[in-house]
Amino acid sequence: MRWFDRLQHIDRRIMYVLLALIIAAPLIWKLDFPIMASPAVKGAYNAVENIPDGKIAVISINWASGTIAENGPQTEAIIRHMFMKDKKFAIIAWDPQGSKFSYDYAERIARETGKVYGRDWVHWGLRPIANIVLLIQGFARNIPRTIGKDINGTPLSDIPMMQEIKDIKDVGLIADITPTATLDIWIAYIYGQYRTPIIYAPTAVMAPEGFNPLDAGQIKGMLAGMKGAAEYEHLLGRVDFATRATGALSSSHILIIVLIILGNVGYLMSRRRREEE
Amino acid sequence: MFNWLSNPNTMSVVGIWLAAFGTLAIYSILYKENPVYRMAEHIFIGAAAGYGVYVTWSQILKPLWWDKITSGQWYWVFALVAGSMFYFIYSQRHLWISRLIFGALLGLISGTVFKGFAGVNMDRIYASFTPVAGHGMTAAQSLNNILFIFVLLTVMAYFFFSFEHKDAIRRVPSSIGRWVLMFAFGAMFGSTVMARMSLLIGRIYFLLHDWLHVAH
Repeated sequence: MRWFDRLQHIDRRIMYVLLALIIAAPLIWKLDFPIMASPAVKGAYNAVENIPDGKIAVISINWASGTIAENGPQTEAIIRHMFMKDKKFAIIAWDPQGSKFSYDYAERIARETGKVYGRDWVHWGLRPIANIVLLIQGFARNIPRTIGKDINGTPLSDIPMMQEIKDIKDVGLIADITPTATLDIWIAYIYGQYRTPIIYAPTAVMAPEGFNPLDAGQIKGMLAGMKGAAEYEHLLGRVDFATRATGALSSSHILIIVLIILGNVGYLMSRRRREEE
Repeated sequence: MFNWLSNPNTMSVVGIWLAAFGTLAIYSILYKENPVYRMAEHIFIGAAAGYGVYVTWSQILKPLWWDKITSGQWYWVFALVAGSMFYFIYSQRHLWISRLIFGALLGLISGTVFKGFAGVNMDRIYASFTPVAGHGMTAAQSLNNILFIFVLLTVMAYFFFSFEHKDAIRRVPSSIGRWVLMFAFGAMFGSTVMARMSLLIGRIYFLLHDWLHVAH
């Protein structure tokens, strides 16, 4: 087999090992790559900064352990920002694992920042995703009646920060953190009708779906996957998981680009040789 | 004898080792099919199914339905009746019962989706009417909007199937539309690669940081 034929038949296991090594190296030896916040991430950051006093944010969690590497840092960065700026928020989860993860994240960051459950944040618990359309339409009109109790079974009427929160007019921001296509539901039934600002934190694979609403002004900003989370951490002045992983992400992309080029060089050379023969 | 089981630190270490074993077992399929992978896969499916049943009962059905019935709101029992009606789809004789509930559901969903369609798309259609000059626009903004309109029109031309794209006036815009679609699909696939790499990085970081303690 000639060298350019070999380029098209590299054993996939060799590529997997190369990929694992090239990802591990920046994580072990801490290679930093420059991070610049994109306008989409700045838009999300500013939307959190501009939540009016007296209103709460609602963080919608629809992710599970499968996308924790992307949605986890996004959730952590947004929660941390809200605590830093004294913005009160409620978490609503549509996935059992996401419900647990988001509660644990918020509880840990609340401990670090001296925030108190019920006064600064609340978790509305898990709701079935099949009912999301009906539920968000209900909560837009009457939050205490639609949500009823928090994750611990406490009626919302007994939670201090929920005393004055009645309907969507008391919500200053929706943050949709998701690996699936829930954004259009929030836009259709909340932004379309009530113009409540929305920010979107999808996995990178879902990010292209966010550019249309971003251009149309239906969302204020977007965190595209782990990269978006790293940019948000940069704006917060923090070095958390997404920032540490940026080097590994960039180097893995470089490897894939190199492999694509090598495969194409091999293909073109083989074709040329066949034509010559 | 089993006091160590109630120690959260011990359980945390055990959990990390189990998670590391699970990660490596699942990734072993990348080398080749093997019994360790199969075992991990079956454990995962069983655990996920069991966890799903428990959470569905403890966090949804019990607080949102059962507790209401037992606290006097007896009419919630009708939710069980309505839900059961779906299962008559498996009976030839009583199929009509399932049609009642499916019909009601379809009516509800249709009305809701129609309302949602307007909520999603009207703003986007409105936003597609972008100015190409004036309004204090810079040259860059103007060029950006011209490019946007050009792409919009050529892609719409590509999806215009009412007549054959035979002559150049109809063929060229359609062809350009196909090219820009390919660019868009390439960008989307790039995003997909980034997503998959991010997930892999998450697992490798877990192995290096939480398990082996060699990553920062």
